[in-house]
Amino acid sequence: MGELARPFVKSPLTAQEIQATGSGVPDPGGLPGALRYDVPGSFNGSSGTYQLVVNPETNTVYHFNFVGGK
Amino acid sequence: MHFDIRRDTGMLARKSLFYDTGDFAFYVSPVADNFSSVLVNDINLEIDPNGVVISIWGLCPYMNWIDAVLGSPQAGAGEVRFVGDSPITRGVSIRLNRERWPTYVDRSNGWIYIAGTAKPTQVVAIMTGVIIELDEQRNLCGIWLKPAQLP
Repeated sequence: MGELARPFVKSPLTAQEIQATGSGVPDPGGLPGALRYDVPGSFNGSSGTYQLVVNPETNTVYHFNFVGGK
Repeated sequence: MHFDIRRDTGMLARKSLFYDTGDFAFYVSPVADNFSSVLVNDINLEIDPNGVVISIWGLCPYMNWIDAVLGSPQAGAGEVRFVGDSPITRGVSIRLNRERWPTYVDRSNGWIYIAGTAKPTQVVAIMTGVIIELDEQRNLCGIWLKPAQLP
């Protein structure tokens, strides 16, 4: 959901770049096996943070958003 | 930023809330057009360009829910509109909470409550199974969710 307004969710490259930062931490939301990344970036002219929750074993993305602001 | 409520807009019957146990996430059917969202934890209150909340979806792992006796919330139907401090940008979400709000579940009646810290003073049902609470300053302070089936 959210694909039309958030084209980055269909970009494996963006997700890979986020994961390549190595900044993932165990998901604070409590999803077993998942890592959460909060990586600074920009989208649609706004600065903010890419938020990605992914299971690195299965490469399943559970949460992928861009949040404006610092 | 705050939220405005407009009562009795007749939206209640048009949408249904579900929980996908594979995605560990809520979603609404039929799926609404999307523009941006307001985030609580990892749950998106999807908003249209005018800030009106048109859907709710997102990650909320059920294994982290806290069992509780919640009762059943009572709320009239209405529409909730987000009013930001700056224009809403397509695809750029707005986060409401830094600290995670706990998620409670009452398995006897199927209601889930994502609880902020403030005391609610206004309550409105924006669709079947989705109730929004606002505090005195019209900030969002709680979300009630009743999906078609609990995980």
